[in-house]
Amino acid sequence: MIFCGVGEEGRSLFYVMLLLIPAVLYAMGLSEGRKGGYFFSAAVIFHITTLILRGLELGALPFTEKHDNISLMALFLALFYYYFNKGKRIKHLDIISLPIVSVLLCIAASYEPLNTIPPFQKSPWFYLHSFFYSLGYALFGTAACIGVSYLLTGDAEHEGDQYKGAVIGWILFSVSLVTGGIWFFTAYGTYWLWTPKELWISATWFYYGLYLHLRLVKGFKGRPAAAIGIAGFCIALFTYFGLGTVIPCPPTQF
Amino acid sequence: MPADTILKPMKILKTINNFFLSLKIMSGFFFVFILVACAGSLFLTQNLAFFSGIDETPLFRWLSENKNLKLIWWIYALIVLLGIIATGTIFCTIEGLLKRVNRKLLVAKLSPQIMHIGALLMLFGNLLTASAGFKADILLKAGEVRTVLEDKAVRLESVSVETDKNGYPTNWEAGLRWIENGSESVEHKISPTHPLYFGQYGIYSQAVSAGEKTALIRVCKDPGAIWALAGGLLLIAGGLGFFYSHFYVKPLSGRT
Repeated sequence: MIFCGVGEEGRSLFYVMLLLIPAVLYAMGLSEGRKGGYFFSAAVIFHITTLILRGLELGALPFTEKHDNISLMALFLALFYYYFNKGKRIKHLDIISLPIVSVLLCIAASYEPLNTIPPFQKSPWFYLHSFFYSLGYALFGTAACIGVSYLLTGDAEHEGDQYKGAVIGWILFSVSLVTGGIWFFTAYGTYWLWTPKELWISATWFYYGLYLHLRLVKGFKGRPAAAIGIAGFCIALFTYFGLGTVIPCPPTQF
Repeated sequence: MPADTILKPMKILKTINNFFLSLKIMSGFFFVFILVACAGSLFLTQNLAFFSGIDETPLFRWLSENKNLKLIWWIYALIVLLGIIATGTIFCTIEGLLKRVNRKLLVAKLSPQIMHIGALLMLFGNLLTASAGFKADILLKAGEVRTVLEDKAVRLESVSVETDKNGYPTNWEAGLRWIENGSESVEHKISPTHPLYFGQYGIYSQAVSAGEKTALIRVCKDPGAIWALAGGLLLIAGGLGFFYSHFYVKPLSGRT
């Protein structure tokens, strides 16, 4: 416990504030020249610090709650933006990516930290599942941002980068599904349930499989493939945020 | 023998071959599969009572007992679509493996096929899970013996619960013995995500009550799980090979 003598509400407010600071810093990373780079670096350092603090508060890796999970996804998105942008300077990528990182952090802040890990989630397989899920989603997001940049600039190299991001994102997403399946099997004796969430996750996985295949079809490379890749991220976002809000999900045991 | 009697079947075979090898056609089936899966999610949410037992028995048995086609057509559609996609995957894999290739490009050639074999194994695992398997939730009191199947039973020996300062359970354990053909095992402890396996059967702790000294356990047998896992691991291995060969060795050529 980091705080002694501070109420639950005070602690929650503290963690909300902690996420809003890097959200602002990432947005300021859009500043021209070196200043933008400094703000971005400060945002990443602050963001990693918040995750470390959350880990200390939980006494476990901060991957499981939505508050932390979305924050982790935002951090990976920021880091992948940096990776793809560092050598090539993909035009408009900062204007597309960094606001998404900030918005994700604001969404993460809107979920109150619970600070309790249900016994069924105390499994290394669940942590691996959450970690790779966040990585996969972040890569889908980065790929979609590069895709938007390609549609705006027409630079064919960017479309290749989008594909690269989506391929590795899909592989990591597959890793998250396998580790998630192992976790679920050790917890409940099955690796599949007929729930809307499972169906949408499968649909997302199949959609990216479709994108990876279509890209090999003559005539689909270029703008059509880029648009399909961007739509994929929208489906992934809907799977994460839309179920339970837009499509009602029955309460499950996990 | 007239040339037509030989050529006609050949033509049909060629048409079938072209159909299943066409990426465009198979992509169409992928797309329809996605649409049907999304539609299915709506059927699930709007008919909760009807679908409440779908996870309690193997899928094919549940389908044979629930014949309301208006509500379950999408499950049949998903099965048919998966069958077509799996057949296309088999055709594509065989074609890919038969092509001669330079040793340097071996990873580039094999990795997509490894991914395909992994996906097929996953489907095979799901098929086994859907057709065979066993699941039973059993509520036991301490000292009680309950029959699971004809010659298999389980005895609950003890329960213990750990709670945090707010009384929220942080972990629990149930001590039990597995009885098979009259012989009892030693006492084993099971807790959340730490099941116990006896042959093909797994025993999972779902909940306990320290006050009432009861435990809810689940006994499962899933013959498809190991195949699905093997398929998932192969798919990931192939995916990594594909990534390496595609982005660091040689780009693949386009197809129709």
